[in-house]
Amino acid sequence: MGQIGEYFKSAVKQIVGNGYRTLMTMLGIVIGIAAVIAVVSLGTGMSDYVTSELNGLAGNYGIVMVDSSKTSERFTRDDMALVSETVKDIHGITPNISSYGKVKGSRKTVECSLEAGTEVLEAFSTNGIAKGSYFTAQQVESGARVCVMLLDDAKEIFGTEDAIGRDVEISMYGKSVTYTVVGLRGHMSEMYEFMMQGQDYYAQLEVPYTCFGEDFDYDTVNFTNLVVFADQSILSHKVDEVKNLLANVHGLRGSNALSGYSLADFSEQLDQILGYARSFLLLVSVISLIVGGIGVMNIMLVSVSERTREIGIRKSIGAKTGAIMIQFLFEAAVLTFLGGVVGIILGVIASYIICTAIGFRVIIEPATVLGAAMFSVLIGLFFGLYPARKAAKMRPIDALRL
Amino acid sequence: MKLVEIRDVSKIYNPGENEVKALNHVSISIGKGEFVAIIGQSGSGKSTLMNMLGCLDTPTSGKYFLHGQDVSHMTDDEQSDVRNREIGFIFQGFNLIPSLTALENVELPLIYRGVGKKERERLANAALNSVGLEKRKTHRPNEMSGGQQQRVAIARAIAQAPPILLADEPTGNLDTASTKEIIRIIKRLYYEGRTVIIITHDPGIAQQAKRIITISDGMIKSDIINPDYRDEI
Ligand SMILES: Nc1ncnc2c1ncn2[C@@H]1O[C@H](COP(=O)(O)OP(=O)(O)OP(=O)(O)O)[C@@H](O)[C@H]1O
Ligand SMILES: [Mg+2]
Repeated sequence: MGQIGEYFKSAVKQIVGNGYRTLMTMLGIVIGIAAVIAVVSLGTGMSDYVTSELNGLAGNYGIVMVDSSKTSERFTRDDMALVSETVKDIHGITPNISSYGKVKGSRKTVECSLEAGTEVLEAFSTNGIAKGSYFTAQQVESGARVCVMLLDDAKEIFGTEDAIGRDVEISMYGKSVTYTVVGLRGHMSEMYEFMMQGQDYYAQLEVPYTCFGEDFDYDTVNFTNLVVFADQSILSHKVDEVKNLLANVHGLRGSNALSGYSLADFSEQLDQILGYARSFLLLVSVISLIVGGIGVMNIMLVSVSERTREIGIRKSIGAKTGAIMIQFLFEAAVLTFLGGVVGIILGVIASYIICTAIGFRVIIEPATVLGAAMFSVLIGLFFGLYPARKAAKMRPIDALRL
Repeated sequence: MKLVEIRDVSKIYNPGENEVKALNHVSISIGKGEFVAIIGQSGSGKSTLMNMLGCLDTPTSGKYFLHGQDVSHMTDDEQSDVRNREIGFIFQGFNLIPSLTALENVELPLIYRGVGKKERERLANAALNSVGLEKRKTHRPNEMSGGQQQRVAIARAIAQAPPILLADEPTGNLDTASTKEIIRIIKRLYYEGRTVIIITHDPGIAQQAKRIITISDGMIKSDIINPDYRDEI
């Protein structure tokens, strides 16, 4: 064991003794490792950002649909009750009528999208209620004419975010009905704002499907689609469960008249695409690391030929092949390890700066850091092997003659 | 059984074209505790002989027995071991490692021997003290005079007490004062019981040895007990 300490000491001495050259050699490894760390954390940050924005934008929901060309069966309120009772771990199920119209407030009239459903629709967006409250089951039951919009919408159509209790006039198909604002969701997300850039402003209203259906002639008893809310991790699974249950109830088993899809499916695809992008970036930085490794090999070869005499001396006083080999391998490994440590520090700093500048969460996994450190040592061992062998195989007589 | 015995050893450099017969059927045996000088003109094959005796090179033909064991055709690692255990080298050019201090240089053969740190330091210190360098232990070779460097090399050669000391022109790079000092130390080591083989082209130095072997053109010309040998330091 004392031997290892000797090798380590001699390696450090050699590295420190060759200060400037060591620094230049290490640079390749430093940059390579820093790039790996930065790329990995940037990739993780990007996935995290996209996933959370996606969830924020669309909520955790899936849709079960009837293909009306294949069957005349429709979903009913009883179906909803049955699903709520029997399917576990879902946050709720609701019909969903989507349409576009106009909304008029005390200041302005703007275009609006309208989502009608039950109180379950609150989970439609992760952008929670900031003011007032969402409409309730009773209000859905009784057909109260109430609505929920965004703080931004209130600002736009009333000129103030202080809009709870105010009335708006919703117009569609030449009909106008007055609804009362009961709740306001928070400001829209950055990604949403980004997507909305350059388009005319439109408000996002949510209303109970009962009154909405009556007011604008939608079916409030039979539905072609139902929206299921559940945590993203179990979403696809739950959507299938609901689909199968309803297929059974309506005697549609084995037909493909019902279909279900969820955003989780899309998320998975997106994850895969992001995964490819990350692998590609990682590959590029690993290549830079390998280039750094070749630099190390180069320097080690120079070092071996410069120290031929030293090798000869060591051998003449009894160093065996293995001892010389280990000495040079140690040097290469310590060199790349030091480069790795500096690279990790720079990589972490770079990750912080870049991720913060872009607005990603800074995610640096310990496994990445540990992996990078180990990888840098491996590079030293791998690229040091050839020079070390060359040194070790030298005959003492030839090495001394120089 | 002699300590060192080479039988009918030849060494041919560059066999084929341009071949040089550096040693031509040489046989020598040297007993334990002898003090031998090998003398000859430049190019006569002294260093080649020393490389054979020191297990640094293998003969083209012939055999080398050390302690009765054939060491002429061992593997590299086995030869490393023999050098480490049996032979202390003193070279003309000192051959110290420039990045290491005197003490660290002296410790090297002990490291390769596998001696633990404490014992190693004790032995290395003792060796340095015995050549009068107790004040230079932390100095690097480039901070020392030639004579001092050669004394470090001697300390390294004796640190782990090998039976044989092999010196190739140990004073070739030194002035008269340092030469005297080095020869004095080498003689003392001989009195302490070591077998000393010193290679030189300087008759003055050869005269200090008890037995003088003269070599010329790769062959032994004479092998005599030195009539002028004086038993004194
Ligand atoms: N590696 C080698 N390749 C070819 N020829 C060599 C080699 N080493 C030595 N020789 C030749 O072998 C002969 C003996 O050389 P050696 O070095 O043994 O002489 P030496 O007696 O030590 O001389 P000096 O007193 O100058 O050191 C010389 O003619 C030399 O040119
Ligand atoms: Mg010579």
